[in-house]
Amino acid sequence: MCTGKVETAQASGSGKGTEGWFKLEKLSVTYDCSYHTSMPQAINVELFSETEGPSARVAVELAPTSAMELVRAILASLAKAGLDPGEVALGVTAPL
Amino acid sequence: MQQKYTTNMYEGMFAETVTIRGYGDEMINAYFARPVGPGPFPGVVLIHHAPGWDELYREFTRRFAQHGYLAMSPNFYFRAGHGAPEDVAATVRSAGGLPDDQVIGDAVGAATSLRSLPQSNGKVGGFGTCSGGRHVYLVACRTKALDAIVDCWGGRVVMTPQELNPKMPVAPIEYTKDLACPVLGLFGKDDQSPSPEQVTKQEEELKKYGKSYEFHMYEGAGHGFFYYDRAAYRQEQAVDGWKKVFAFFEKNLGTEGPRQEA
Repeated sequence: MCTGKVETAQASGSGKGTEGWFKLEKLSVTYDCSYHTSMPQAINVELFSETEGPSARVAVELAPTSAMELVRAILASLAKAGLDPGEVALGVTAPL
Repeated sequence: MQQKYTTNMYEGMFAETVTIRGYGDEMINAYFARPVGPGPFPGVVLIHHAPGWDELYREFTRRFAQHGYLAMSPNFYFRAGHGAPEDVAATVRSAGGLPDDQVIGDAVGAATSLRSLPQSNGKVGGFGTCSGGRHVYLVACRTKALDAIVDCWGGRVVMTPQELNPKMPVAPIEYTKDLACPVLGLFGKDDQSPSPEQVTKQEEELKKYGKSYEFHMYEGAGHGFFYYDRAAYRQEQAVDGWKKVFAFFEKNLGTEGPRQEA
């Protein structure tokens, strides 16, 4: 599969890559060819810094069910912290 | 050709990273492997898959050289920066892929470079898998740089209007009437991109314009069944597929000069 379908967004926070921590700038999510997993395609989540180059990247390749678990866990975590996901999305409540 | 190899023959190759002139006259790097000897040899431009300019593609390049081809695998992700191949590939994927025009320019640059070599027989084929299958089809339709192409499971040759974007403004299938050389297509029946229905559509278009083509749809195989480093690998189908690739190129590009006896 090579769908080329990509969702991107700005990201703020830090990621730990192969050369240590770096400042995040963007994130992307694709359902496309995976690199490592045995699944022919996966939900590929990338958190990266364009400024620091291709190696400044945190990557996971997830089965769709795991991707949904990640979404659920993030939303649950925000709720437990008393943060409204809608407000966070609008930047009204900054989680960081 | 390897199938004619006997154990008393001399065999050797050179393989190294070179630079070539690509799209917009920019210099990009490429992996180049060639048999030892004056030739003349046919050439093959390899267009790597979406997961990047990786070890697998350098191995594919050497495989073509071992079979008597001047084989060149340009780094189509050169402009995305440098790092581990999967990191560079992720950068390109996050950016929504490569612009079609850029890939075409780089591939034409590689074909020109191969033809300029004194040991070239003047013929150059194209080989691509995954997004590279789509790209090689585009190059063969929009230029006359290639004398035969192998499209291995190229997805998004057939595209919906919603899938078109400034980087990929026209679905490759729309250019089929301009296809300038014979095409061999290898596909897996379990693939979703391209799906068997999309492959049928592509085939109908080739038929409609009277193009020379040979399509094979493998049972029990999906996307990337040549990739022995992935779960998608299908041994029987891959062995047969490679045989078809070499037979097709031999027919359309010619063969190397006589080998030296030991």
